[in-house]
Amino acid sequence: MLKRLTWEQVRELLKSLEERGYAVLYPEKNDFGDWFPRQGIPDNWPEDFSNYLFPVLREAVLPSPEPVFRIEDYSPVFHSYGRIAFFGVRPCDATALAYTDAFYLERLFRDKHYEKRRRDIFVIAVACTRPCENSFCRTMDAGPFAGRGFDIQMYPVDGVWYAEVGSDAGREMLSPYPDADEGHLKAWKEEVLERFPLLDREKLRYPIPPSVRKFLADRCFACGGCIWLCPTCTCYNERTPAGMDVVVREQDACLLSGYHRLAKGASLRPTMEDMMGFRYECKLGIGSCTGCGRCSTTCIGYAAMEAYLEKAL
Amino acid sequence: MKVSIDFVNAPIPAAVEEVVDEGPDVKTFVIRYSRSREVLPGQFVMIFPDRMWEIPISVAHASRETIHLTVARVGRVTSALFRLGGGDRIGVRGPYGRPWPMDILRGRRVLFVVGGLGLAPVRMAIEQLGDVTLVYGARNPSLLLYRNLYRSWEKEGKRILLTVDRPDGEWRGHVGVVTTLLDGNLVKSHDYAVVAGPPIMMKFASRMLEELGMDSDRIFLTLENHMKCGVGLCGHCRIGDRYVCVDGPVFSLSEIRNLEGWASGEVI
Repeated sequence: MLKRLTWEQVRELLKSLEERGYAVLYPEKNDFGDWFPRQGIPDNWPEDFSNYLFPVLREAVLPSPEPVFRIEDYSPVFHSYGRIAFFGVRPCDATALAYTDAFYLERLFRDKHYEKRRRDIFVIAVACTRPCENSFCRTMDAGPFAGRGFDIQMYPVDGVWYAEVGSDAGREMLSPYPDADEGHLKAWKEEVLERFPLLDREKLRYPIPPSVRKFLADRCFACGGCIWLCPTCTCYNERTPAGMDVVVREQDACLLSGYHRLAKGASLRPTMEDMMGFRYECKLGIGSCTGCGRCSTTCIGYAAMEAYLEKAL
Repeated sequence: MKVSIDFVNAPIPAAVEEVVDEGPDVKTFVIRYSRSREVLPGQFVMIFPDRMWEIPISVAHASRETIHLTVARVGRVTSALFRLGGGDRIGVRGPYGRPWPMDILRGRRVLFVVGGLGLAPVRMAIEQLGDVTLVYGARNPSLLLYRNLYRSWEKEGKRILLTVDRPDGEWRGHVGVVTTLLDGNLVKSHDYAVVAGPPIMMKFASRMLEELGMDSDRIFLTLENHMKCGVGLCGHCRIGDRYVCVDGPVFSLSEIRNLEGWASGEVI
């Protein structure tokens, strides 16, 4: 179902989300040129918005550290941020949310901690009009438009905001607004799509060539930056922080040796090449990569996807 | 994979009832643990000694009210566990994991090839099956687990072949690694094989079983990858697109071979 809104009506929709108890977050650029979420109703849509520096949706559903149970009586803790409506989420991050939803909610075990926070999140994706630095989202089927992971997806077309329904909650929020004809939007989408490079997907598969794996391993500083910023990296560790009375889950990184360490200091993957293979197995083999490009932007060693693409394609 | 179980990341309070010395730095903890699900042979639980983190331990034996966990002191969490005594509190959740395929093994001739602490994850299976040969090796005689059970197992008609790598003065049995007890006749007189022990032992034992004529679909192993959650979420035990905690820990050798096409190295 497609609707048609003016910018004022978009603001009206965001206000009605606020009235329903949501903290509305929208993108704002800081003094250093990086994008962070700001709470409130935006006066204008920031046309130059590329993407958030951090994967904000992942942080909302999987905070790190996250208290999970009290040591005193082992009673569970369900950490909550309350209701949040994200306006302006990029399609790659909406796709990543769909991926983490499937991982945490649709497999053998359904994580109640994730589920409770996820229920409080409302996603309004805004389709991209030009590719971000280092991104290859179209190749990974995660942009410039999202196919999943949103309640509403909006398309800003010459002053008109087309709005696509992605969930029952989204349908309800859009019900006051007039239906739209898909014709004009379709032509616009075709034009936008042309601006996004489409790489050879067949070469972005696991296993990655050994020479490429070695090239990346030799350059990796094992800082973990690519993993902290990846919207689908959700592996976690568990510990009791010193002086605290709760056990927390916190994000772990498969490019750090501690991730693979066993008792007595043994390791399942003792070399950087082993760990790099493990990471790419997940990102390209299982297919969790959305092509957002954050890993390449943050990598200090030329060992992330940007380097991989150059070597593999 | 079907959704069936709600997961809350918190253990259930349980109590250590008894601690049994099994050998140097190996103890069996008998834990009073009320649970909703029956423990199946080969499954594991996550245990939480206070102020540490949860680790997976195979269930060696289970009654209606208790679970028996045989643990070697190797790291920080197991050291914390070793400080616990009767009456002390411990957190437990589970049982988890794919058990030994008892429906397939029941009524068949099953060859268990086991090294060291590997006897813990197969003990319940040995107890529940009838036609069993146990080929069991340890580094030295004091590391052979559950020595007081062998006689009753033999009375039930189970055959037991023991070996040690380094004999002491009193040892009169076979000397050598566990694979030195395997031969073609022994393997051919069994329908299935179950392998448990250190990774290096499982690697050589499963290869030898295959060379001696056992089909890789009929060899089952238990993997003991690092786990933080036991429910397929934390990511640590992943091999290829499988999670040892929910897709295993029991795999057939042929399943493991398929994973090797994925993984960045040998699985075992």
